[in-house]
Amino acid sequence: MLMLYLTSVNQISSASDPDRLDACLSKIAAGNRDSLAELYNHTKTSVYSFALSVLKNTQDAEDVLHDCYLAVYSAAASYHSSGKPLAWILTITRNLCLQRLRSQQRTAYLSEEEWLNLTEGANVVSTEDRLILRECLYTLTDEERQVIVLHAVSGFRHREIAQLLELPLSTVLSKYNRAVKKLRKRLREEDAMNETK
Amino acid sequence: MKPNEMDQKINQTFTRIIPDVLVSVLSDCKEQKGMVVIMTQKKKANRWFKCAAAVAAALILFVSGAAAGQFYRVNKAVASTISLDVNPSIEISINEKERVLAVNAMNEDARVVISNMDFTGNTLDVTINALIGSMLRNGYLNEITNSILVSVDNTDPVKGTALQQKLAGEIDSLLQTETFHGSVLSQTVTSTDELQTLADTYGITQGKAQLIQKIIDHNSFYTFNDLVSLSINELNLLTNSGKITLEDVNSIGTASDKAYIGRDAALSAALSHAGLKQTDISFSKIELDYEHGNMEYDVEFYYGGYEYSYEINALNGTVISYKQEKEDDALLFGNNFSNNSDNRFENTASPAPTASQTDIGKDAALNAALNHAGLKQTDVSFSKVEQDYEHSTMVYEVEFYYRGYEYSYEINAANGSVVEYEIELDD
Repeated sequence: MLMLYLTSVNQISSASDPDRLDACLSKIAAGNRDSLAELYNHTKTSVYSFALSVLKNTQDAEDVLHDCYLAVYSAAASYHSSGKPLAWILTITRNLCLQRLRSQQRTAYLSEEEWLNLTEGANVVSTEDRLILRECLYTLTDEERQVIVLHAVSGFRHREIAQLLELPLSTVLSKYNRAVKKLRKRLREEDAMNETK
Repeated sequence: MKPNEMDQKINQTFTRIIPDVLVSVLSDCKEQKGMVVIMTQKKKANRWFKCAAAVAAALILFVSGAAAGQFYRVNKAVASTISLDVNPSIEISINEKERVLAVNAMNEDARVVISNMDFTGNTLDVTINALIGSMLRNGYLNEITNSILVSVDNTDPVKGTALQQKLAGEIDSLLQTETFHGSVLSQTVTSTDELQTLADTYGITQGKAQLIQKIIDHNSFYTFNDLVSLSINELNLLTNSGKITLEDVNSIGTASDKAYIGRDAALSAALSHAGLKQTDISFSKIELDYEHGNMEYDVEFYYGGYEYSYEINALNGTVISYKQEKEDDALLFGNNFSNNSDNRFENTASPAPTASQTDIGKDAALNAALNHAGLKQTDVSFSKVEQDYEHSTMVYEVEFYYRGYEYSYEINAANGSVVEYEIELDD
């Protein structure tokens, strides 16, 4: 468990190292695919988690993960560094998600089959993982889910989230706090149920 | 469970479910960069009458094809694409006779403007008139948001420029209303793969993508990402405020700033916060800017040997952040801040600190910052105390949090004096 936590912390720190990501982007602009692979490894967790938090559908989120890095590869030459490369990548992610939702004219939810495949996969090991994922996807509102995932997974500050989602800072703060409270309450209820069994 | 513990749990959970698409991404990138078209060689016909028949058939095809081609070129082929951007973004394709082939909505607001109108076959003048009328009726153009961008894409630059000037004049006259006068930006666009990628990526027209690119070329502190969500009026205001002259973009009229508090109110807000009167200060600048996701006024003035820098929310006049620093530090980099207010943050090549330099240590640096802020160590939650070297001086960068504010200090490492400090609302 400790090792997993350290892994995730390392991913946050590498994704939030703007100099490193900027260096990758400038090499990608020159057509360097190794740098694209490096960028992918540092940022894929943020991109996929954010896409899943918007789309609520693993297949669509996987497609956006793929399309996002193709778009980054094509658009890297137009990227001008302002110290926020991850925000730029996640803006592309968001636009791809919104395009997908518009073209589908719906908000896609996980089917029962997808849910079983996802939660019974080898990677999702604990009951708590399943519970957190389920509550993130079903209990939280769209904006609550996006705010908490951007904060928890991508390490974005609330001000950066407000900018990315085009929401007032106060709204982001209240949605984050509400989301944490909701999840905490659900985990407590689940613990209580398990104890009575 | 504390919020950050919940963050950790969510982080762990999402980290474990990431699919790996790298191989497919790299494979598709390879195809994009190095697409190969396989050409097959056709066998030659070897009988004379086949040649004759082919020549005859080709002649018939050529004559009828030329006539059809001419008809297609004049009536059906796209001769120009015109985009109108306000916040609604609309693309109009016309043929050589300036008859409309298609009108496409590029965003939700554009769908409201177009509604159920069908412009196919109409003249361009009638179409523009109807679309501007609908933008006025639906409130997209008004005294608060009065700017529109007209972009013309035509392979013939002379025709493109002529059409751009004609349309800008027509739209300007349509926007001379009783309640407000409009501001029309116009340009020609040369479609490129890069512009098309930007337009597709951000869901905007190539015209808006080109305008943003030009603004960024003049001010590298902006990013495409920063500016893409702004309306044309806001982009117009930024170029006016920053005194940016965009090459090959014609401008008629003045962008409205009526949505904002105005420069005088921004200065008053900063002075009120600093406890000063206008007569006390010597003046530097007030500029409208876009930062932190907000339109804001950057206000800078001098008083008592200090430079005061404020960021004032342009919508409501609240102080977003402020900074007070010794004017001497500013003078290290020259007096003229109006061209580039961030000069002072640039690290010039500095000599390495010498071992003999006096160092008060981290604890004393922290105490100096806390004393200046009027706080005790037990009051604050901590971020960092780090040694750095700036302006040829060893300093400690001290950051801490107190009651929702982030305090950032630079403390002189030799004598503990406050070089610079900033207090900002923490998110």
